[in-house]
Amino acid sequence: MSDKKVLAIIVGGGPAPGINAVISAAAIEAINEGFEVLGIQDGFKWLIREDASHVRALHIEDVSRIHLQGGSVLGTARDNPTKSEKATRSVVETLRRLGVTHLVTIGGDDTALSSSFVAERSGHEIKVVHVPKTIDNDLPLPSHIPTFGYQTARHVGVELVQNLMEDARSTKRWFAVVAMGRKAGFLALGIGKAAGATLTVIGEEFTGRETVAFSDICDIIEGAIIKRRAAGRQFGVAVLAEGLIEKLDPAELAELQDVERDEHGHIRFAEVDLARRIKVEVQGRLASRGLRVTITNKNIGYELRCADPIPFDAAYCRDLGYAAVRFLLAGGSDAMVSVQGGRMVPIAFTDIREPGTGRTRVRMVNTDSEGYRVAREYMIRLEPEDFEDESAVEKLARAGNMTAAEFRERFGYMSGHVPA
Amino acid sequence: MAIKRVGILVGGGPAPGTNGVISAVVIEAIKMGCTPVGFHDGFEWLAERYTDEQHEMTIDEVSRIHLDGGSVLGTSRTDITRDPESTDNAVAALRKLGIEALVTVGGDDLVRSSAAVERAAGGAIRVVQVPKSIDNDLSLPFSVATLGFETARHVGVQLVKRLMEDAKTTGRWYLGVTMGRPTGHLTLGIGKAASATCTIIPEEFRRDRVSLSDICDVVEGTIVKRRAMGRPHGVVLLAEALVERFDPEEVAELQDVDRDVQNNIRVTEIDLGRKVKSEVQARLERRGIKVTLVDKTIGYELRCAPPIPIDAEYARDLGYAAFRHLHGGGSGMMITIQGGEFRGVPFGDVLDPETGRGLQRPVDVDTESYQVARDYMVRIGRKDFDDDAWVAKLADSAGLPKDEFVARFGSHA
Repeated sequence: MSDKKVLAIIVGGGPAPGINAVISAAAIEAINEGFEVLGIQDGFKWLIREDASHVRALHIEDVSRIHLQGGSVLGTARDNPTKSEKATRSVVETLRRLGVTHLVTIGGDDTALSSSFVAERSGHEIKVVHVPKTIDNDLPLPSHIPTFGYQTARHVGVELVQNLMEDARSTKRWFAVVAMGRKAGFLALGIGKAAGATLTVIGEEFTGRETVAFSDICDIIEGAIIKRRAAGRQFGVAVLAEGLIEKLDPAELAELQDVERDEHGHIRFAEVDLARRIKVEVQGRLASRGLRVTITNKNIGYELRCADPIPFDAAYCRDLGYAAVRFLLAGGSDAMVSVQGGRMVPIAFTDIREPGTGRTRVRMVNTDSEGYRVAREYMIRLEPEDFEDESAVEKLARAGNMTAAEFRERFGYMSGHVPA
Repeated sequence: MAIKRVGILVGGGPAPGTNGVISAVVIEAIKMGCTPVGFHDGFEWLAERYTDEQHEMTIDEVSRIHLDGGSVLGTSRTDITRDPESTDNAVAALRKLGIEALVTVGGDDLVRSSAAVERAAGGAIRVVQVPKSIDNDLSLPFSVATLGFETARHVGVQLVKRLMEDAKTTGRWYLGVTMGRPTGHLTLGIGKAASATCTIIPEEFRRDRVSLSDICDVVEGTIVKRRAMGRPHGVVLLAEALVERFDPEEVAELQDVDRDVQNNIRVTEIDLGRKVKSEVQARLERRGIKVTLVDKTIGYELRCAPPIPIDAEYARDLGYAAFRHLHGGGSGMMITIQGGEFRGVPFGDVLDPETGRGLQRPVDVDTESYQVARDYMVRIGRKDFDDDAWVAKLADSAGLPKDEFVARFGSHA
C-alpha cells in the first residue's frame, strides 16, 4: 500500500447552515497536512451506482472563501447506502477505486449510520469520521451543545416570526406557524422563546402520553386566543413544532393528509399541513360562536436551511472541520466529532445508537429543564391559575362567547394539566 | 421570605440583551406579586442619595422591548465605591424607597458596586448581578459567555465581511481595531468567524510588555506573505487591548492619554490603527513597495445592536434566573447558566481580593479553539523557513535580500 493519503468529503441529508465552513476547514487542514482531498458530489447518490465521475479534487482556492456561504458546494442527497448490502459494497468499492483512505461525512443521523457502515464494510481500512449536522438540534450531545446549523436556522426563524408578530399586531390577526424540527421541538421552541411569540407548542409537552388528539392541540390555540382577547389583544403568533404530527393518533394522522415517507422510512412531516388544519378547525370553532378571528397559517423551515451561517455557526463549523481532520490524523475512526467547552470530544458511533434498533438516539427537549420553564413562563396560554377565580373564568368565557359552564367544560381539563 | 419591591439598574457600557433582562425581571416580578422599580442611569443618582430618578415598571412598557438594542433604563459608569459616602448614599436611598432586592446588569466594573451595596446593607438588600458585556471578559468559567458578546461579534463579522470584499475589490489592506478591553475575546471572535487574514490579540504574546514594533512586524509579515501568494489584499484585526501592554511612556508618546471615571486608560482614544498603518506603510515604502492600508475602528456601532436570538433567549433566562434567585432568598451572586443550568457565582469569586476590582478572563491561548483560529490565519511562521525557494519568494515579495529577510522575520517564527 502506498502511503498516499486521500481524504474524501461527503455531505448527506438536508442542507444546514455551516456545511461549507466544515468543508472549507476540513479541506484546508487536510491539504496542509499532505492529504489529497476529494469532494464527492451529491452524498452517496453516485457512489451507490458505482459511478466515480462525480468527484473533484478540492484545492485551497476552491474552499478558502466559502465558509460564510449557505448551501453545500458538494450538494447533498438522501440516497441511503445502508438499505442493501449491495449498496454498501458499491460505496466501499468505489471509494477504494478512488484511493480514498479517509472519509469525512457531514450529515444527520442517517448519514452517520451510512458512515459507520462504510467503515465496517471496508474492514476499517477506510478511516471514517462524521460531523453531525442538523437544524433540528436533535442529536445525543450534552444538553447545552447545539448541533451546527441550529443556531443559524433559529436566528433566521426569529427574524421571520418577528415580522409576523408585527404583522399580526398591525393587521389584528393570528398566525399559526409550524416550524420544522422532525420529532424534536428544539427549533420551534428556540424560535418562539427568543422571538417572544405568544405561545409555542411542542410534542415534548405531552411526554408520557402515547398520542395526542388533534383537538387537544386546537384547544391550546383556541384557549390562548380567548385569553388574549380577554386581555384586549386581538392578535398573536402561535408557533407549533412539526413533531406534534408524529404524536397524533395514526388514524387521525391518516385523515389529515396522504402521508409520504422518505428514503429512510421517516414521515415527510412537511407534507402534512398541520398549520392549515389548525387554522380551519380553530377558526371554525370560533366562527360557530359568532367570533370572527383571522388565523393565517404558515410553515417555516425550508427557507432556513440554506441561510448563510451566522458567525456563531461559522466559527463552530471551523472548529468541527478542523477537529474531524485532527481526529483522523491521530489515527481515530468510527466516531462523530463534537466541540465541548472549546475542546474536541469524539463520540464513538456505538455510543450514539439505540441498543435494540441500531438507530441513532434522538435528543428531545427536556421539559423539566430551567430553560424550558423560562420559555413557558413568558407564554400566554390557559394555565391552571386561570381557573381558580370564578370572575376570571367568567371574563374568559365572555371573551370566548361562551357561558362559564361551557368554558369550564371545554377547557377545564387544562387546570390539572401542568408541567412541574 | 417573599420580596415586595425589587430594583433593577444597568451599569457600564451598553450591550445587546440588556432590555431583554429588564423585560424578563419585570414580567416575572409582577407575576410573583412583587413591584419592580427601574432605576435610571445606573448608580449615578443613587450615589447622590436622589430618590426621584426611578419609576415603578409595568408589563406594558417591557413586553415588546426584549428584541430592542440599548437600555430603556439608560446606563452609567458611576462607581459607588469611589468614596464611602457614595456607598452610604446608595444604600440609604434604596432603603428609603423600600427596595429589598436589587438586580444589577453590568460587567467587571459594576460588580464592585453590586458587592458594596450587598455588604453595606448588612443583609437588608439582596443583590445579584447579570454578567453583561460585549467584551466577554468577566472571570466566569470558560464556556460562560457574557450577555451581548455573541451579538457584538455577529454584527462585527458582518462589517468585517464587507471589509474583506472591499479589500479584494480595491486591492488594499484594512486594519480593524476592535474594542474589548482588556482582552482579545471580541477581536478573536470576529476574526475567527469572519476568517480575517490575521487577528492579533494581547494574550498571544505571553508577556507583560508589547511594543508597537512587535505588532507592526506581525502585520508586515502577513502582508509580505500574502503578496508572495499572489494576493495583494486582506484584513488584519487588532485588539484595542494591545495598547494596554504598551510601555506607559510609549503610550504617552502615541497620544494624549484620557482616563475614564474608573481610572482606566481610555484606550479607544489611542489611535492604534493609525499608528500601525503609518509605520507598516512607511517600512514597505522604504523598500519601494506601495501598499494601501486603511485603518478602521470597530466597537461603538456594536454595543446597541438589537440582540440576536442567542442573546435574546440568554437575556430572558438570565433575567428570570436573577429574579428567582432573589425571590428564593439568594444574594451576593453573579447569575450564570452553566451546561444549561442556572448557577450563582459568588461576587467574591470574581473580585480581586487585593484591588477589590472585578477580575478579568483573558483569552486562553492554550485551547484547541484558539489553535483553530490561529491555524487558519496567514502569518509568517516556522514552516515558512523550511523551503529555500519559498524563503526566496517571500524575501522578494518583502523587497529584501534573503539574508536580511531571515534576520528580520526569522526570529518571530
